[in-house]
Amino acid sequence: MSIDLHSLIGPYALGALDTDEREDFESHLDSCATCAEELDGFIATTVRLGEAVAEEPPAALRASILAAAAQTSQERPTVVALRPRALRRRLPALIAAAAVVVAAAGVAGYVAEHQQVQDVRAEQSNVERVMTAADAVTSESQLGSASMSLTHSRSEDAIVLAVKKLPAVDDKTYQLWTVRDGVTTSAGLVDTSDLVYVGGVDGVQQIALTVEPAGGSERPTSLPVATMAL
Amino acid sequence: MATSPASRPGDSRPLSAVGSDPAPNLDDLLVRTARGDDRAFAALYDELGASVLGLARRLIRNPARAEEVTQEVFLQVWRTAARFDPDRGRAKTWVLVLAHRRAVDAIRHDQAASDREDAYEWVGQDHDVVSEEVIVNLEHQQVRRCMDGLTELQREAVNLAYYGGYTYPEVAELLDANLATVKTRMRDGLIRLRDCMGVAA
Ligand SMILES: [Zn+2]
Repeated sequence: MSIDLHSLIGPYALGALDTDEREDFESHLDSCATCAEELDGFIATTVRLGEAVAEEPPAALRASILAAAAQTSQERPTVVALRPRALRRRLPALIAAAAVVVAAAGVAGYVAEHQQVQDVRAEQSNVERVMTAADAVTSESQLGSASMSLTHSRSEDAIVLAVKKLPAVDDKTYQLWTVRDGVTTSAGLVDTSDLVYVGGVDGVQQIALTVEPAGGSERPTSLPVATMAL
Repeated sequence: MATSPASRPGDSRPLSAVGSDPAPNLDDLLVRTARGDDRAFAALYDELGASVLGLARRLIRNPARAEEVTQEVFLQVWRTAARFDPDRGRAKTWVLVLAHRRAVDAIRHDQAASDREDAYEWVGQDHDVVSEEVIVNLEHQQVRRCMDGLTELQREAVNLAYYGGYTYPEVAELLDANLATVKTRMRDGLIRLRDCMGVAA
C-alpha cells in the first residue's frame, strides 16, 4: 500500500477525502481498531462543529419536508442495498471479479455503515447464495458509461442486481421493478451505484429500471431506462 | 410522548426554545420514524433541522440550494431510518454525518457542473472570506473558545475542510502547505478540539 491509511483519519473525519480515498479509509477502519476508536471521538467533535452553526430554518421548509415525506415510501427490509466493499471482502475473489462491478457509492458514511453491519450480514448470505448457486446465470448490460449486471438463480428463487455509475438524476430516483405477465411490482429504490437483492422472483420474466420522483412511485410513471430479461 | 427524562450529557440544543417539555430522545424518535411514525419524524426535524440547515448553508452558501439539500437529507433520513441501530450510535451523529456528506457532495457536484461551463480555477477564490465568515458566525461559545485554542494552521485546515467542503489536497494548496502536514494538522486540530470540548470518545 503506497499511502499510510492511518494518516487519513483527520481528513476523513472532516469530510475532506474524495470518494476513492473515502472508500480506502473505510476499508482500513475494518481492520484498524486504533483508527476506529479514535474516529468515534473525532466524529463526536465534528457533530459539535455542525451544531455550532445551526440556523433556524424557515417555516416553509418544515412544511415542505413533511409533505414530501408523506409521499415517500420507506426502505423495505426485503430489499437491502449492500455496501459493495463489505461484500467484496467476503466473496470468493473469482465471483467478486465477475459480479461485483459496483464502485463506491452512496452517502452512508462510516457511522451509518457501522449500524448496517447486521443488515449486511443477513443480506449478504442471501447474496452469496445467489452468486454461488450452481444454476446462477449472470447477464451484463451497458448503458453508456453505466453498467448493470443481473444474476438470477432459479433454485434460490432470487436475483441480485448490480448497477454501476448510473447517471445522476438529481431530485429524482431510480426504481427497480419486476414484471410478471405485464404486471409491475416495485422492488425498491436503486442508487446510482448499488447492489440489490430481490427474493421471490418466481414467474418474473423481466426487470425494469425507471426514473421516478424522489421517494419512488407506486407504479412506474416513465418508460424504463433499462430492462433485462431473466 | 417524550419518554426519556434522562437528558444525555453533551446533547445541546442550540436554537430550540427552552420550553417546559423535556428534550425528546432523538434515538427514540429515529427508531419510531423507521416504523413510519410521521409525528416522530416531525419532532426529529424540529430538533435537528436547524443544525442540518445551518451546516448546509455554511457549506453551500446559496440559501435556496442549502434548503434543497436539507430537504434531501431529511428525506433520506425518512427513507433509510430502518438502518439506524440505537445500540451502535446516536441519531444526532447519524443525521449530522449524513448532512455534512450530502452537502459536500452537492458542492462538488455543482462545482463539477460549473467547471464544465467555465474552466476557471476555483480553488483559492474565496478562502479568506470563507474562514472569516465562519469564525465570526461561530455562535456556540464553547466551540468558539476551543477553535481559538488551535494553532492558526490547525484552525484554517479544520475550517476549510469542515465548513468549506474542501478536500485536503485543496486545503494544502490554499494554505501552501504539503499534504502530509495538512493531514497531520487536521488530526492534531481534532484531538485538541475533542479534548477541549470534553467529548467522550
Ligand atoms: Zn489506522
